[in-house]
Amino acid sequence: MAGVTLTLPRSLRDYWAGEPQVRLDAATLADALSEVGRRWPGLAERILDDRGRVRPHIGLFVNALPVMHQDPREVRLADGDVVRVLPAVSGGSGNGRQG
Amino acid sequence: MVAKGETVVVAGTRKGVFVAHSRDRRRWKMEGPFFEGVECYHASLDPRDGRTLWAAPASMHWGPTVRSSRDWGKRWTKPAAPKYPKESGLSVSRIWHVEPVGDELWAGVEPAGLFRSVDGGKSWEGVEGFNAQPGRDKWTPGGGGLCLHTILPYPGEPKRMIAAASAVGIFGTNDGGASWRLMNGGIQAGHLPEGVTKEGAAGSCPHKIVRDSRDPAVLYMQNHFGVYRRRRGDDAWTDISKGLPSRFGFPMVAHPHDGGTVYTVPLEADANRVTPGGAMAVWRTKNGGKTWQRLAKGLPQKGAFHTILREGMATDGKDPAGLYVGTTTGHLYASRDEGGSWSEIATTLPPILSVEAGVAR
Repeated sequence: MAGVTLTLPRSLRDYWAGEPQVRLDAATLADALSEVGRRWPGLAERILDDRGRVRPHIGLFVNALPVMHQDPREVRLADGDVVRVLPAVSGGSGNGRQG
Repeated sequence: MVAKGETVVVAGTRKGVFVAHSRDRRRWKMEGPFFEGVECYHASLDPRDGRTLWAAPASMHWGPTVRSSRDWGKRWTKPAAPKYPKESGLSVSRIWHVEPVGDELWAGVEPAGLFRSVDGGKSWEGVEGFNAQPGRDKWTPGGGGLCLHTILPYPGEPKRMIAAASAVGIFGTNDGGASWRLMNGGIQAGHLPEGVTKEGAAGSCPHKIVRDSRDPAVLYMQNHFGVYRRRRGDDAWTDISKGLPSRFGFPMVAHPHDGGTVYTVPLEADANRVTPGGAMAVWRTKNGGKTWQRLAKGLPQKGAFHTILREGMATDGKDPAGLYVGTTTGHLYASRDEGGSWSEIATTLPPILSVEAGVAR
């Protein structure tokens, strides 16, 4: 297990009302997200979809390295790593789908 | 703040939820937006208590959730969401409809599926009899996505229900959702080589279905390819489009008290989804679809190229019935005399995705 810091955006405050940075022990990114879900029920599902994949408009970084396109189980974490969850730059299409 | 006895109109929009309320259905006050900037395909006032607001905001970043408020939007419950099992290979991308069913709450989602909650939306379980149906791998989406948008319980018969998904069809269950049958017989299908859908086969595109308020055995449907009626026991739908300016449209509403009376808003065509000729009008039948009447008094008749989506019309259930129509240009129209005349509640809202109405208690 590595001691890592996780930062979450303000737009997830409905789920998590604590400090903007939290300390976790986790060997992989999947472990870190699992711990997030244990501490704040429902929060992990906002980051991962029902299949366990990172939602398409989210940025996930370990330090400065983007990892959102990797399998979270294969992203190893080391002591002192900072995991950042960020809303990606998205939108602009106007979403012309018919309701 | 909404007061008891007021009429409440809830609009889900591309940028949050708005709540209009009025004592006399002439002068309206507006609350919101709630969930600012987040699209909400469905929001409603729970008819069981006249106090709980339901909303299904779907964040572009964080996905769809179901929320409720019992203080007119001041505080909302913690988000919860239906979730497909991982092994299904599916993931809920939008919640299209939230429907109170007895003591439960049901949700229709995209990709097409049904979920139920027995604890007021805090947790959800899949209706596996629907979600795991054989053949769903061949279901194809309509322009709005593979969405389940209609959930119709049967008054007095809790195990009987209709659900509808685009572009799959109309489903019925008689066993509380354990098994479902497709009820697509006799519906025009210009997108299929055979030109008509068969009972039991997938491929129809229902846009909205309602029950007759006097006789729940009778259904009315605005389909992609026409307006239809069907009685329990029938094995096909009856076309009742004659007399309408177009077969295409999205919403359908049943009069809350008068049998045989339903409303729709025809659009020019599927290739041009605007009110015909730039003139806004609601159409009503009072005889089960034999004849139709154009209702346009007070609605704009020039330059009104409106699109009204499938959840975009509602009634407040009062007598005389109030009707409310929301457009993707942000116009919210109201009638306090059953469609006889209309006025504007709002004209500059974000694109309206859903309209529901009721009375505050």
